[in-house]
Amino acid sequence: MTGLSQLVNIGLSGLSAAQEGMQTVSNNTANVNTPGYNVESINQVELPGTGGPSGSVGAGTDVTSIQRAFDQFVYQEMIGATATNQAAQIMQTNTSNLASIFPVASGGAGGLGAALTNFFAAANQVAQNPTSAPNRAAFLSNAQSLASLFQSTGSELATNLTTDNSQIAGAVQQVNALTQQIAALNTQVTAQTGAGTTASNSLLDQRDALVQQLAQQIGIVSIAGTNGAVDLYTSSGAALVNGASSFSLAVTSGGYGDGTSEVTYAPTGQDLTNSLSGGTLGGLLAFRSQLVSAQDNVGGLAVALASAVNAQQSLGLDLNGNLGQPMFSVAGPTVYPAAANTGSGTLSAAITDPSSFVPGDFILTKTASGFSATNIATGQVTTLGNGPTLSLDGMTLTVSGTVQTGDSFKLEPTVAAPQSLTVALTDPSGIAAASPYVVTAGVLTSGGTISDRNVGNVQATAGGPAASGGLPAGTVIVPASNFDHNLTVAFTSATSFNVLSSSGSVIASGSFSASSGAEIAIAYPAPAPAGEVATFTLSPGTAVTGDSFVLSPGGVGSNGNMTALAGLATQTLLAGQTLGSAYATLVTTLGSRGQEAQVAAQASQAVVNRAQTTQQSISGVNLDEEAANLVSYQQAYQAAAQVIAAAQTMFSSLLQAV
Amino acid sequence: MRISTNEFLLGSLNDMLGLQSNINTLNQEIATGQSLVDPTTDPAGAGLALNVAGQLGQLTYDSSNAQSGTLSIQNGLGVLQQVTTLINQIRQTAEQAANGTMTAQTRSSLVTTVQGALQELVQLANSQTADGSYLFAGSKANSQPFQLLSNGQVQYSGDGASNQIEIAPSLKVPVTISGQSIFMNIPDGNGSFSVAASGSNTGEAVAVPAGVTSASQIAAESQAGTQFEIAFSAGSGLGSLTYTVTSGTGSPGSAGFAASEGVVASGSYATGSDILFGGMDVRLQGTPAAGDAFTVQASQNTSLFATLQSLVSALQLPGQGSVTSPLAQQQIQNVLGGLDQAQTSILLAQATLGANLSEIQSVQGQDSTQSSNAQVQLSQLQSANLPQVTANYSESVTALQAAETAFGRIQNLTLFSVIHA
Repeated sequence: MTGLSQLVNIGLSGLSAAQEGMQTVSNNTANVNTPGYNVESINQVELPGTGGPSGSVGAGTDVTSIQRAFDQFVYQEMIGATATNQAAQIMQTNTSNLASIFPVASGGAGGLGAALTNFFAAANQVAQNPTSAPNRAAFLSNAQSLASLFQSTGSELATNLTTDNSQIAGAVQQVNALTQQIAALNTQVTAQTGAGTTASNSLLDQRDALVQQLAQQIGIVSIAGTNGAVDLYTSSGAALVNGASSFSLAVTSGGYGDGTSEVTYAPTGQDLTNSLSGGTLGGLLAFRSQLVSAQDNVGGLAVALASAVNAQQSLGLDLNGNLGQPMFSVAGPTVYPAAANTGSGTLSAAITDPSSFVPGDFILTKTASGFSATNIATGQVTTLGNGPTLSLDGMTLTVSGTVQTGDSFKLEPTVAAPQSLTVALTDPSGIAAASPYVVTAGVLTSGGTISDRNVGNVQATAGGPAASGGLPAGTVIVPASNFDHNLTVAFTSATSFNVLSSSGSVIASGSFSASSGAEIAIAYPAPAPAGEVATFTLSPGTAVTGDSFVLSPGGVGSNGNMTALAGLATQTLLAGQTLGSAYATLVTTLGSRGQEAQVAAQASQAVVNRAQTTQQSISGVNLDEEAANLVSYQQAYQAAAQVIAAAQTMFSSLLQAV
Repeated sequence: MRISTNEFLLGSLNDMLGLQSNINTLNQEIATGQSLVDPTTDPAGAGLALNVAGQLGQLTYDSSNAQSGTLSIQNGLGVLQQVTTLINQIRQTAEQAANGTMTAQTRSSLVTTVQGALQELVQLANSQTADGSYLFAGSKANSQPFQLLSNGQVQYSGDGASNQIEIAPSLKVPVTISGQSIFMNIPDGNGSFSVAASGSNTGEAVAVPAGVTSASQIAAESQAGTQFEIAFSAGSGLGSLTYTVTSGTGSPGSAGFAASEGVVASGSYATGSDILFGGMDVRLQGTPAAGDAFTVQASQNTSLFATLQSLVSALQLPGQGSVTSPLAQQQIQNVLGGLDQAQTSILLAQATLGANLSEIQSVQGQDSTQSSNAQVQLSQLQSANLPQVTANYSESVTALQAAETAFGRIQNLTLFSVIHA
């Protein structure tokens, strides 16, 4: 009896094991497309039999557990690769979008470089014919389209920045939702895990899938905790999940209130912005600094253009004979005081020398020994002193009020510039094409004409505007109050001359050398930059008492100032570069960053692909394998059923025999 | 290695997606003919292309400047050529007048001719460009620079400015010339010194500058304001004449001259001989009378218009019957000298403008060479290498087709489709 019922029991155990096997196969095939599913298999053992005279026969089979194919090491690698790759992909998409704002096809047609060239070409047209109204109007309209292009480029960059900031907020929200869910699953896993028992595969699969989703959002380190739980940390070590607890991140508007979103650690309020890497969040944060740098550089171009053109305008005469008014208007630097400042002092900044200005944002901190400036992009620290006037990279900073030690300010010199660039000059006759003064040999007659009775061979020529600091020694300087009036230079002897006002009174006098001539300078009044003078040269030669030259304001046909304005195209106006080459450098930099990001994204994609292949080779479902298993379990089931059928036949044979 | 079914399918899918994106890029290159569609494709090339495009733009506007400068110079040269022709005509008239025998009627017709020429000259000096700017006004291009006053004088209200234009990076050439230097600042006499006859002369003599023996001496006299008077008086013999040259500061006869007066040369006058003093050589044509005087001084600036006006007034002087008076003759001789000096001044202006024009033309040649070099460089940087791109395109298309066919085959490969439980 024992033997026969044993036979039935063994057959039965075979049946149920085959059934469980088939269930596992069906589950595997059903979840072939479920993300995060790890292929499962049954753990089948032989049941030990009781000893008999001829040795022991096993008592059938038993399925002790259903286990998932899971490799902790491969899984960790997968998480790390996912975070890195996600950051690289975000970088690649965004940098390539950023670069496409700056067209390069057909020599950069439609871009800022081409618009600058058009602007200067139009300036040359005015220089060719300064009295032509159509040329002047065309120049202004070119200035207008240049300004519009700066505005649209600026607003595109600003929109990108806003989007980036809101995506950062979105990513932080996702991180918080995921860490909460992971902590909740950790709780369930811990509850199911005890001595000898493990949590259900589906619960573990679900949690591990969530961890992987979290890695898409942020770079994490995962460490196995107690009782099957998993603990998660940011790459800088801040705990996100610890067993059943989750810790959230928060987005704040930053310590300077300048609209930059900062990521802080909610439990402590610590600013994590600069220590986060990996995942969508890491990618967005890294891209943001590139975006800001592009904004700074485009702004730098706008400021350099506006200040050079405006300065040149103020050095020439317009059609009405007045010094030119500014052609462009552009926003100056913005300074944001830190919310945590204890002093009431404020800082203001202005770009006073664009040619030595290098676009970039700074954090200015008051230390015990004075102000120090940290370039946000490069981290370079410059010591500035105590003020009240500080100078930094072509900027002049003015401190007012009391700034306490430890107070800090964020300085954004040109972020707002591109969008704010507008054309202030609307009247084409306001274009200052004429030289401030032209020279005519002779004396001014009462009728306003100039009659030349000069006997000597000294020639007078008008030079360009110059800074008074750089004038040769002995230059005769005429004060600005006489600007815009006719002046006469009259020799009083072979070696001396007077500068006379239009009413004939002596304003200045100087000495003349037959071998080296003499220099005369007339100081400009405002709005020309302080210290600017218009220069004139008396050539070496023989001067005769009574020889005179008339300095009269340039007429409408003069193009002296316009050729100088057109010549700004080849002047180094921004960080030692011409506007055109500064723009080309900007485009090259953006292009290189885009290319670097592409290479990095390709590399990290390859790493992820390899990790995924490895992970899938262990944990993925292969349908062919499942088909084979199904066949094998089906046959085992049929065989076990045959065993029971045989036992039944044996039992009935026995009954018949009795 | 064990491969999961999903991985098997996904792997093939990723390969196909990669090929598609490749084909898309190549397609774009073929369609636009440009390989540089984005700064990321070739960052250094993109920067270089922008710089080259900027350089090309600059060469374009420099060449436009050169064209405008050429036009402006040719305008000026054209007018100056007409002025030269006009001066030659006036010269013929003056020579005709100097001829000596003519009726009062002829003289008055010549006056009309010269007055007409004066008006024509003013008109030429007031030439305008196509858009109405005055060519010779200096910087005062909107107002007529030369005005003919009712007294026949011409006044210049322009200035001495000259416009320059950039024809190559940091190379500027003047393209206009001020009317002051062309028409107004012409030295009188022979360019070094001038001779005038005293209005009370009774002799037949006409004095002309014959030559310069010492330019430096004349220059010193010019600076010092020295003038000379040649006075003739009766000599000891019958009909003989002696001359005395006195020098002084200011015009002869004035108090200043009298105060500084001193005799610099004297002697008996031989008809037809030159009188030499103070670096100057004065020649007399005809015989002077005792008591005649001539004033000599270093050249002063005069205008071409004044020279013409002086011809008019010479022609208006009463003649001695059909013979031109010696006073008028003296004045006409001075006019002829003045016309020569004007011709020199115009030639000088033509030479200056011509030199600028040839500079523009030679730079224009360089500009166009540089421009075509830049064009070639730009096209190398940004144009797609079409044979290469097309070959890559067909390769990628073939690969994609193969991958798609392979995918079609493998998606049927499953054990479930062949086992029948």
